Amino acid sequence: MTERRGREALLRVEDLSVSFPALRGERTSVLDRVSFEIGRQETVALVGESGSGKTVTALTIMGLNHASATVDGGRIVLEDRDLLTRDGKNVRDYRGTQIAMIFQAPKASLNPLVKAGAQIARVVRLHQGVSQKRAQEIAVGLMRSVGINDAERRYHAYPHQLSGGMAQRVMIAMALSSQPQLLIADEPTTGLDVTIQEQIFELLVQLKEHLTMSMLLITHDLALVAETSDRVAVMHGGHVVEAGPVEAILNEPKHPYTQRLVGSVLRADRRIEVTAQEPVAREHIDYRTAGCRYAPKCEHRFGPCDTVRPLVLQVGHTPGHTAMCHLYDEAQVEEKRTDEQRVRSC
Amino acid sequence: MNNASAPADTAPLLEVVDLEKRFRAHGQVVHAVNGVSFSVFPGETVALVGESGCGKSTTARCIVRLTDPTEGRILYRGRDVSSISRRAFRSLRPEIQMVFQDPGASLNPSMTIRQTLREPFRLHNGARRNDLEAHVQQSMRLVQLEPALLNRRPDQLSGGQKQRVGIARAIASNPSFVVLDEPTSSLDMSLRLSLLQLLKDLQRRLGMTYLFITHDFSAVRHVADRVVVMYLGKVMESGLVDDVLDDPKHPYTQVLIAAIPVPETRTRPRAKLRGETPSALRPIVGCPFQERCPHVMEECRQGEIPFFDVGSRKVACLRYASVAPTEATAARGSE
Repeated sequence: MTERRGREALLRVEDLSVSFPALRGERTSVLDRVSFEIGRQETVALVGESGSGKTVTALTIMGLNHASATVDGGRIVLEDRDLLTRDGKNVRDYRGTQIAMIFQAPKASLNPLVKAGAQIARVVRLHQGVSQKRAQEIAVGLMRSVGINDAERRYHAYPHQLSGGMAQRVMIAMALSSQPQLLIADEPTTGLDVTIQEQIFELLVQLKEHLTMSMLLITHDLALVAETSDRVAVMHGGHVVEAGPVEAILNEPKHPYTQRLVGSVLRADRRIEVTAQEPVAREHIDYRTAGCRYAPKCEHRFGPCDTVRPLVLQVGHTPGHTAMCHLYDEAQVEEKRTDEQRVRSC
Repeated sequence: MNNASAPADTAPLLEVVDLEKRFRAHGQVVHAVNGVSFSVFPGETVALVGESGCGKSTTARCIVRLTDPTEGRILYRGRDVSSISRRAFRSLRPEIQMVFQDPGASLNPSMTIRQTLREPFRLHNGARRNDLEAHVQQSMRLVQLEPALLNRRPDQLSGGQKQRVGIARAIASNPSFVVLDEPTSSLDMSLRLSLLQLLKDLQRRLGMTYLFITHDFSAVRHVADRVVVMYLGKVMESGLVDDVLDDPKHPYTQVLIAAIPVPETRTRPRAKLRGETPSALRPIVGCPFQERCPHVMEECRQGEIPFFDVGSRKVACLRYASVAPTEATAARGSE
């Protein structure tokens, strides 16, 4: 999965900025000029810690953000059409049909009062306008295609009667009912057992091939990313701090945050020496800084980090590997060198 | 936390013998824990692992007496504590402590961190009022939290900070034995590592013994000495961590370990596990894994499966019947 599958991007997120209301009429910029793209049939992973903006990015693409969120700038382009310029009603033109999403905690995403199969049938009717009877047939077929045995009987099961893995299969059936071009999977297996996680991903990969679909995978599990994704965008504090092919990110991480993230991956297959990490004194992120939002925690922090927003620059030897860090900015590093020389000569 | 097996001449700190816990649900009986045996030796970390519903948390709750065992014995320092009254168990509370899975739900939201951390010192150690603050400050230092956080309430702390408070509370009474019930499952990867490092460090400094309940094999590899793998209320395999994880012998352990993603971009051959764990409501005769096992034989469906010695491990699988069976049917780890 090393090659970029599609030359042409299916979805481009360009300089997307989103803010939420904060105290005293101020706004918190939770996404600050976020850019990445997803090629056709490609799986892109969005990784980062809680609060990094992964889920807000996904919800903004889906037009499902909270009403208090505002998009302050940028574009989300699906096949040359900017999704952000459409009005609310037209969101339905692509949401659920061209782009579908599955969520963490599948049981919480299903309506507890409606039979699982009927919930799939509703989606089918909404998008395909078929009769009730036909919708039920399609729903049972979809349930079979996502590996639910005994689909006719399970159609009548209520969500509480399903296991977590089964509920996620129902969500996948619902998401795929209109054969979307892009599936957004937000931590689809968090909270599920590892053998069920494996089954769900095996299913997703099969369906992705079968439906020639792209996938945006949101997760914080880098091992899972390594096994499933083509490219990775690493988010921290609402910035994409590093992006590139999965091998480049895992083997040659460039941004100090990515380095910390990759360095904290424990392995089940062998014992590794882990360098002791100091607990980060400040866990919260200053969203108002004009500089790098990782600077307060960064061991390489220097002159411009607190005040100047780093540029997104090509790093390493792999094409498409970028990082947003002053360490790779020749001009900034040069200035640091001359400063140091000046100090020495004083 | 050394990697060697416990010396044979050391007495176990904790011994679980044929533990059973049955619940009644929908007029039926659920065998949550069905004849589980293992030992934990002083100073070591034993990981109790398995998927949801395998009985690992129920086993832990029986040990710390948050629920009463139905049958079997739990020996702590050689004394059976499973049948003593809850009141009598109270005298053991300072010695046997637990860190809970969800730090948000296990801290009192209306108490400040200072109030929460004072409790164990008042209850267990009978500390004098004047000394309480010094004890609380010391606890905060041990778990590497700033004393300024003492005035806050749980909702003003991050998940990682809350779990450190949970650890501080558990170790306040200077326990010998601590049950860690999935202490990192609600944390991000980078926080998870620093918390595991902290637990290892505290164990070394304070000489504690851990029973680590988890489904995270990479954490097991990182912190545990021995591992006990459970499935549907029974022990399937136990042994030294490196042996079991590098070369699992039970067909269940094999598929379980094969399912764990590793941070490398290569497609690896995998033994796949089909289906889901069957309901614990339906009694199963023989091996609990029979319905999903690729190697199932007729004998697997008949009667109790004994444990067989395979290298350092004990494996409850008839495929190893050609190797001499162990005398007891209990998996007592790898003494």
